[in-house]
This record gives sequence, structure tokens and C-alpha cells, in this order.
Amino acid sequence: MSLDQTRESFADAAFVARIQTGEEEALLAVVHAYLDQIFRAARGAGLNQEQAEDVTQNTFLTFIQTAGRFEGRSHVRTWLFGILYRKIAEERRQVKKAQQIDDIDETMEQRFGTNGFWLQPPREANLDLEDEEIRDLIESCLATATPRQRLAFLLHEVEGMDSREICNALGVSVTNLGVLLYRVRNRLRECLEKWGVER
Amino acid sequence: MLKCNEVSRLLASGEAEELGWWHKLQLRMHLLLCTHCRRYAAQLKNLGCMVRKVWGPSLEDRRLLRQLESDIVREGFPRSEQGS
Repeated sequence: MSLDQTRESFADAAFVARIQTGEEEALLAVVHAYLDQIFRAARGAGLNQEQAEDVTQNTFLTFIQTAGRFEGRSHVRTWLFGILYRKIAEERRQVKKAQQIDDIDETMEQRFGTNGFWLQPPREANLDLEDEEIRDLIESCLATATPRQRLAFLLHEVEGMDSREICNALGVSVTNLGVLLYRVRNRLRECLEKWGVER
Repeated sequence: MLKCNEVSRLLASGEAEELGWWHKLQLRMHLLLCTHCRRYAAQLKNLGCMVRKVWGPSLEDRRLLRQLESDIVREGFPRSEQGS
């Protein structure tokens, strides 16, 4: 059975029951199937390698300890990403509420005239870079983004999750998710444009 | 007709993916006519490609993940270690 098939089978009621009873084999299968995704998400959320290792380990240990409370209403992957998000929030202790004022909102407002059309249209940016340089640039551009914004972006773009699943994992409404994605994408786009035009 | 600031909001928030056919058509019409929004849309799309490249799976992580998995098993199931 491929890893994708294994992950799909995690949604079966029989498998959910095995998780709920804390069956070791079932819990280990989940650890094995999602370890890479959870670690990747922790790194993408802005943690350094050591922090990401700690948070990943704590996420799975919490999952193992609280498996009896898993109700199976969402996929086990959603449950895991929810634990991960709370661990990152604890690690960072700087989670802002999704609706707080964000400086990117003001930047975006200034780009449009009162008629709603572009006042400062987007510019073509030269971003011909090596992967390593792109990684560093994205890190510096997203340094002020909240872990919640970064995770929303990562779950959507890298893990390909749908809105409902991301909302469940992060504990936000669909509207809040839209705000998170709007801010993180514009923050990154603005920063890359500035960098690419000025280089 | 949609305005540019509305288009930017629909695209960046992901609402554009959930639109009904009529609003989707309006969005397409706007993008057809507006160079600036077309560039904005292309740049947003490129952001996705960039993060998939740098945040996606990496080969260097494999050894680290194996170690991490065995740490989790040891801490999460202390009895299985005693049994082995």
C-alpha cells in the first residue's frame, strides 16, 4: 500500500476506532505517515531546525497522549496540524488575533485610488535566484508575519489542503482564513517586488 | 464591473476560488482588460510556486526525520522499548 493510500485509509471508521483506543500500531502508522509534513510545516512557520524538531516531537507526543479524545469528525491530519499550530503558538508566544490591524492593510490601501483602481500598480520584479537565495529572501520577507499567517499559507500552497480543513486545524472562520491569506500573500509580494525592482 | 482593489482582495484571500460562475466571469473579464491586475495575479501565482519549492520535501531532511521518528517512538511508547 502506498503512503497516499495509507493516509486515505486513516479516514475509515475502523482506523479512527483504533486510534481512539490508543492502539500502538495505528498511532505509529500516523507518526510515520505525517512526520515529514509536520516537520516541514514547523520549519515553514518560521521555526529554526532545533525548534522545529522540538515542536514536531511534542506534537506527536501530545497526539499519542490525547488520542483517546480524537473524535474522528475531521481527518487525523487536521487534528495533527491543529496540535502543531498550538505548539508553535506556545513556542512563539506572539500569536496575534487574525483581525488585528496589520501594516500590510495600510500598504495595500495606499496602492489604490478612491475610485478603486491602481494608483501604484504592481511592478515587474527580477527574481532570478538560486533556491537557497529564494529561501533566505522568503524568510526575511515573512519575518514579521504571524505563525498563523505562515501556516495558513503553507497548508494551502504546499500541503494543498482545502479551506475547511485549514479552518479546522487553525481554529479560524473562513472569513478569517481569507484575511490571513490576503495579508501573508500581499506581505510577501510587496517585499519581493521591492527587492526585485531595487536590486 | 469589478474594481482593481476588489480583484486584488478576491485573488489574495482565495475567495476567487469559491466564486459562482457569474462572478467568476466578471473576474475573468476584468483580468482580460486590466494589465496591472493580470500582473498582480501572475505574481501571486508565482508566490505559490516559490514556497512549494523552498518549503516542499527535501532530501537532506530524511536522516533527521528517521532520528526524530525513533525519538518519538522511544518517548511515546516507553513500554515497547522495554519489550524489545
